[in-house]
Amino acid sequence: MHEADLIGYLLNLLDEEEKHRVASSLAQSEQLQARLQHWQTVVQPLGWDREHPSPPQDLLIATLLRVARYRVEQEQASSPAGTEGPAALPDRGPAPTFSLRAGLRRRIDLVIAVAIVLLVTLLIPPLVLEARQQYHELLCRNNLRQFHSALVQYESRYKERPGPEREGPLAWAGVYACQLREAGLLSADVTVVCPARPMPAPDIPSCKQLGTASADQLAKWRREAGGCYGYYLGYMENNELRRLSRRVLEKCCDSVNLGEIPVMADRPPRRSELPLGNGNSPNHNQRGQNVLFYGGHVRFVTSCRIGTDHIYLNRDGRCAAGLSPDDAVLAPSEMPPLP
Amino acid sequence: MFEEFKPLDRCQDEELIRLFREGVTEAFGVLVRRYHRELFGYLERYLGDRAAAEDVFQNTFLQVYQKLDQYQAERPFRPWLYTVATHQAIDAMRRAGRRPSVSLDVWREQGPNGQWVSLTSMVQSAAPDPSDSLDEAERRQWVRASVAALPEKLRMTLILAYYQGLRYQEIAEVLGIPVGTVKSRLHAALVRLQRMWSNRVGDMGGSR
Repeated sequence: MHEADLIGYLLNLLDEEEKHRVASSLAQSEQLQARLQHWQTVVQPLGWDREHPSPPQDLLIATLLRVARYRVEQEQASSPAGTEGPAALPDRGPAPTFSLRAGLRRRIDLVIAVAIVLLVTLLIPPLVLEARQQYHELLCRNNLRQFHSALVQYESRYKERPGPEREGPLAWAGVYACQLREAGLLSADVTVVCPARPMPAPDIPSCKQLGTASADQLAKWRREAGGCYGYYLGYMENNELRRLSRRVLEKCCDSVNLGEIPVMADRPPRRSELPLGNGNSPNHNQRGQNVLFYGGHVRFVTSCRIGTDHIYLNRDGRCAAGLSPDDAVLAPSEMPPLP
Repeated sequence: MFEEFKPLDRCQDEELIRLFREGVTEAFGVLVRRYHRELFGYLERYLGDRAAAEDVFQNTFLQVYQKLDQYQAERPFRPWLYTVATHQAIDAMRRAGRRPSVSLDVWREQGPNGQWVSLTSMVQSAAPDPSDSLDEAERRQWVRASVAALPEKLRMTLILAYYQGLRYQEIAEVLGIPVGTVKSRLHAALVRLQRMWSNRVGDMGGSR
């Protein structure tokens, strides 16, 4: 008998007929029993990691939202020009017993509605709100991932990430948007507006325009160009303001896990908003914020502290450049690195 | 006669697919919910990256939705689902330009003195008998790192057989290879693990 049959018997991988055949052979042979025992011993440590890793809490709804978005896009692509909204769901089989036409004109509403139809067994009012919030979070995460691509391309071209200068017209957090735009890296897919906080897309000037702008115009751009996101202010080293750069950091900072440095996130609350909240971004109703890390992953975190690092304040408790590369400070558009 | 009412949660997978095709839209949500822990676990083990597993999981069910017309009603759903998921996972790795075992050096754990260590070094340093020095979480990481160190084909076969509980025949369908090849890969995977874990594995106190 081949060893794989014994392994198959042990792990229940055989069909019924094979299982009976192996069982009767085992009953007649002590040698086979000893070999089975051997494989049991080999397999045993695997049991220490038997449990499946827990899925993210929003995986179920995020998956249905993705399917729903596809469904809506497909429906809109096949609709005659000028009509909005799917006429009937689903496309397989007969139409359901209700229509989505009434009042559901906006695409986001449609996507959410389709997702709920896919999961109607859990149709309770809080789910509608939750689905809407999770959809916004999802769009926001996708947006930050697009920013990551732009930031990586910028770094490969200029050998460092975009970021504010120490002083002058480029000394504010949101200048990253101007630098990316000037480098031709802000595509139509990327927006500085968080989908959860709809507002008109701001005007993003070039760095050259910033240099020649009037004081009023510059103040307006500083306030608006960085949009709804907070961006890495830089860090101080030998009294110099530094930007993130893989080349430099890998040489000098063995202890820093570069991939885990936060580089961008939903913007922090402004001073006028702070007393009312828990320190989380206002973009997602202060439930938390999406954070883009240097390594390219994006996580929704429910606290503005990640480990020991406060992502909106440096180790001195100030919204200013960090004291080391991993002392990330993600500041709203208008904030200078050295206030 | 009317068909007897049966809650969707109690329907077999294949029944849910049939109902969905007949217009019972929420049957799809029941399928996603039924598999979301199991399939996510498979993808995270295989890809070694939680965010990638999340993305591939979503793509898998989008593919299932798009390809339901190709699904043959007389065949079991579960191996078909794993086939779709496995193809999606392989595509994702190709797009990212990496092999999953590379992630061994990406996964970092905080060592006892606060230093960062890769899982590769954990496997190397923990052998031959991790039960002496590792707590439950560390043992789990140690096993995961050992499995992640296997060559991709052996690792995938082991995960499908041991962790996902698919039978030889089902694994052959998922991977599109003969049953004999599945058997030899699983055997080879366990021989390699045995080598990694040394002959003293038998003395370890397992929790299974």
